[in-house]
Amino acid sequence: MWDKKSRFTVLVEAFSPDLYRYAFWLAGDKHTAEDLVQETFTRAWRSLDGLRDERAAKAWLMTTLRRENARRFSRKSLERTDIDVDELEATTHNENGLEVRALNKALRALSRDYRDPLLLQIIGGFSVQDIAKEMNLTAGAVTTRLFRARQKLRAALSDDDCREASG
Amino acid sequence: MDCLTFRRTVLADPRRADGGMIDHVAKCGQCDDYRHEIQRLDSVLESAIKVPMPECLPARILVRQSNKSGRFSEWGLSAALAACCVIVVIIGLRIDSQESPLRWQAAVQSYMNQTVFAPGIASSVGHGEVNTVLTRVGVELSPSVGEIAAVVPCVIGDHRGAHLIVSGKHGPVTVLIMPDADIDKPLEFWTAGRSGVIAPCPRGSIAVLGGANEPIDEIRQRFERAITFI
Repeated sequence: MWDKKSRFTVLVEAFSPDLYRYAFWLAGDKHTAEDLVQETFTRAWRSLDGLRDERAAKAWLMTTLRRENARRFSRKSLERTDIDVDELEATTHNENGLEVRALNKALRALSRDYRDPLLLQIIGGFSVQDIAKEMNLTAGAVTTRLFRARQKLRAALSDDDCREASG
Repeated sequence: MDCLTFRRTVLADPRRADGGMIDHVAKCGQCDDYRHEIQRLDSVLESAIKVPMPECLPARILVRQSNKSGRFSEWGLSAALAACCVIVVIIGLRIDSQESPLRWQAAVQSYMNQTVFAPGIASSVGHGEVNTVLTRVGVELSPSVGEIAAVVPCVIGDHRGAHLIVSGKHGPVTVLIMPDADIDKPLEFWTAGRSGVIAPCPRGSIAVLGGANEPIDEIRQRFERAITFI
């Protein structure tokens, strides 16, 4: 059986990209995102012995990161910042073009109430029940938020298509 | 289930496919089209939320943890990993094709976590069919390897390879053959509650993963004897 150090190393190697992505969308800039990921793993190291089921590792880390982000706001009275557009545009520039960029823009425009559950579902693979527990909401409320979030994104994509067609 | 409920459910969770939803799409083509449209929206969304991670972040985390836990002298390995990153950045050297063992472990673990490939262990693939898949990745297996339950080509990290399932003594055993992922020594491997080993081959490496009491070394040796690189 692996020792703590090896287990930790595998967690860092396997889940850093998704945690960073989640942290970036939560925090809005790459420096804070990096700090959040680092702090998350520091906490994970301390309580790694409590992780019994490795299949739950990703959800466990994402929950830790989410709490770490909340602590950031309780420690200082921070204003929520907008997403660093330059960083995202550098990413989406090489992707399959217009649709990705349009969705990226629409996602940035979504309110956090809608964006947060969507990120937990897409990046973390959380179920509606898991999100409800995580966000202290009812399953029905989460379903409604996810439903509306995708509805808005779909509408944004259609609007963009229309503009492209007419432009 | 009516169309409105179906569409609302799909928008909340495009991956959901329970009995009521399957029955509904079987008789409503428009809702089936709608479901595909939303699933496509989700795949574009996956790309839209991508953010490039700073290349050395995992190494920095490991070094930071090693500094905090000074009593772990073996953490030098992590420092070496970080040093590798720095060397690559500063000198611009290209690391040779040998895979970092830790990165390779992580890539295999990530692959296993994301892959749903669990055919019934009672199934069996003909030897010819197995080699048709394997030759695409530059490998052949002799019939001495025994029965193969399933085989598919796969990509782990940046490496192409083959994902096979064989019947072990206690359940299905996964074998990953990766002809271009070189490692220099065997590594214990553990993911999703399963244990296993990654071992070097004459070319590339082979990973064998099974349940807790599975004699995975026997299976690995059987594959090593049967494998030919073409």
